[in-house]
This record gives sequence, C-alpha cells and structure tokens, in this order.
Amino acid sequence: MTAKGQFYIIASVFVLISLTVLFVFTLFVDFGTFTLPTQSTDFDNLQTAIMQRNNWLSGYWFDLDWKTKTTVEISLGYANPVEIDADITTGCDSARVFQRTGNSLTEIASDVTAIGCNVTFNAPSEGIYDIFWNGTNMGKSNSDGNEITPASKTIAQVPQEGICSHFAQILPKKNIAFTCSAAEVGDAYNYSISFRSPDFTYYGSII
Amino acid sequence: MNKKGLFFWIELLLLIVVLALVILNFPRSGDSFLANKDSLDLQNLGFTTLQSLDNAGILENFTNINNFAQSNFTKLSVYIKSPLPSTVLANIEYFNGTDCRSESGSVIAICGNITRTKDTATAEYTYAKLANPITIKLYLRRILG
Repeated sequence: MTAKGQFYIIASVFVLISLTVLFVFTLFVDFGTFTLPTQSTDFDNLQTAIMQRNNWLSGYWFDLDWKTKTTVEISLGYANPVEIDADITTGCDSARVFQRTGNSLTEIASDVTAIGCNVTFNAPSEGIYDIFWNGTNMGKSNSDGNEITPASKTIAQVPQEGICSHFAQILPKKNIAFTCSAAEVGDAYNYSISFRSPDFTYYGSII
Repeated sequence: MNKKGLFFWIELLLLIVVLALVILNFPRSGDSFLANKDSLDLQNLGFTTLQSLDNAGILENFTNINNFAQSNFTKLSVYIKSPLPSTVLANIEYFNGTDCRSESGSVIAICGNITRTKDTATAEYTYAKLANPITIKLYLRRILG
C-alpha cells in the first residue's frame, strides 16, 4: 500500500470516529435544560401553585379588601327576610351577602339591623350564604331576638398570599435563590418572583 | 511484510484500541441518561397525577381549608396512590412550611427521613387551595427498578 493510500485510510478512520462520537453524544449526553430540565419542575410547581391559588381565591373570597366572612347554611323552612347574626364587631356598614353555588358567588341585596348589626336579606333558596365584611370579629353576638339559627355557621379570615413564605421554606434547600413579594389585585394576588437555579432563571410577575 | 506495512498495522491497531476505549465508555453515559430519564419520568408522573387530582377537585374534597390537620388523610392516600401504576411504589408526606406530616397525618420530625434507594424519585406538588398552602411530597420507586 502506498503512503497516499495509507493516509486516506487513516483519515477515513478518523472521520468515522468523529461521526460516531458526534452521533453518540447527540443521542445520550445530557444537554441540560433541553433534555433533562430537573430544576424547572420546581418552577412549574411554583407557577401552578400561584395560578391554582388565585383561581381558588376568586371563588372563595369576593374581594381581598374585605377581611372577614361568616358562612351560614340556611335550611328548608326559613321565612324571608332572614336575619343572621354574623358576629360582626366592626365594619357593620361594609357587610355584603353572597349566595354560594359551587365555586361561584352571586351577590344578594342585603341590609343590616340598627341593633346588633345583624344582616337581613331575602334568600332565594336554601343553601350556603357568605356574609363578607371589612372589619373584625371578636366573638360578639348581639341578639335582637329576630335572627334565625342557621344549620351551620363558620367564620374565616381573608387568606394571606401564602405562596411566598411557603416556597421560601422549600426552594433554598434545593440550591435555588428565591425572592418573592405579593400585592393584592382585586380578588387575586400578583406575585413578583425572582427564581434562580443552576440551570433556570426567571424574573417577573405571575398572577 | 516490508517496513511500511508494519507501521500500517501498528497504526491500525492503535486506532482500534482508541476506538474501543471510546466505545467502551459510551454505555456508562447511556445508563446514566436512562436512569435520569426514568427518574424524571417518575417525577412528572407524580406531579401530573397530583395536578389532575387537584383539577378534579379530589384534593379539595378531603382537605380542611382552615385546618389541614383535620383533613381526611386515609382518603387522600387512597386517591393519590390509586392512579399510579401497580409497578410503582409511593410514599406520601405533607409539608406546610413548618411541619411535616406522614401519610397518616401524624406530625413527623423532618420530611424525607425514609428509606430511599438511589432510584427513588421525589415529586412535589403544592396544593394552594387552603388558608396555608401545603406541599405534597411523593417518593416514587419502580418495583422492578
């Protein structure tokens, strides 16, 4: 075999090796976020949690400026107008009544009594009613003798944004730099997020 | 065999050795990729399972909005595990930012203090339709892993 022929054989073998290496690396090697986005699953979780929480809030709380609500269940046999002692201590004038159907709230015209700040309204049917007010509840119950006794009554405070403090406990342990703040926007929270993991970065707001 | 022919065979032999060394290193890379891929698949399986349960309102039905400790942990466990393939083993934990709860709902010292093999994948899903969100941690492992 001549030197020229030998050169072509060696060159061909090197080309073959190069192609093989290129092919195998393309097939098997981890190209970071393109093939195994291990870190972005944490961001997916964060993003999903924010959206789920805001969707839930829109059906659970009509406006985040109203701080307290009393949920009552009115059974068959009631007589309109119904009068409910919602345990309102302050913020009497802000009381608003909503009928709950699944996850949707429908406002109903209502009034409050001069004595005891009980809420009165014409209930279209039996079911669940949410009475929101922008004030506090301190366990007060001022009966004027006309209120009905609902089948159930629970009092809840407006949910906090919750997401920032929750993820601040989780993400730093995974080597993810995370800062977060939330601002009320109607019945939802707008989250300003800084999320920086070794292979994924996000700065912006999510609502 | 002349002198030129000898060098040719030596060069060819060296090339074969180099090629063999390179090729012998490929399977390790391939196994690693497949292992990671399988782990990621399990993570995605856990995440999408929990997300589906959330979207379907299942998690909502068995959790107490104002006090997660009073949730129905037995039902939660059944509903979380039942959509998973029978070849996948799952352990559940709940983390509310401060406390960790086991599958049965009892408070445990720390999350993740369970026997885990190297092929155990951890899927996390944060359930936020509560006064205080909770993160459901699913430790998943294939039986034949």
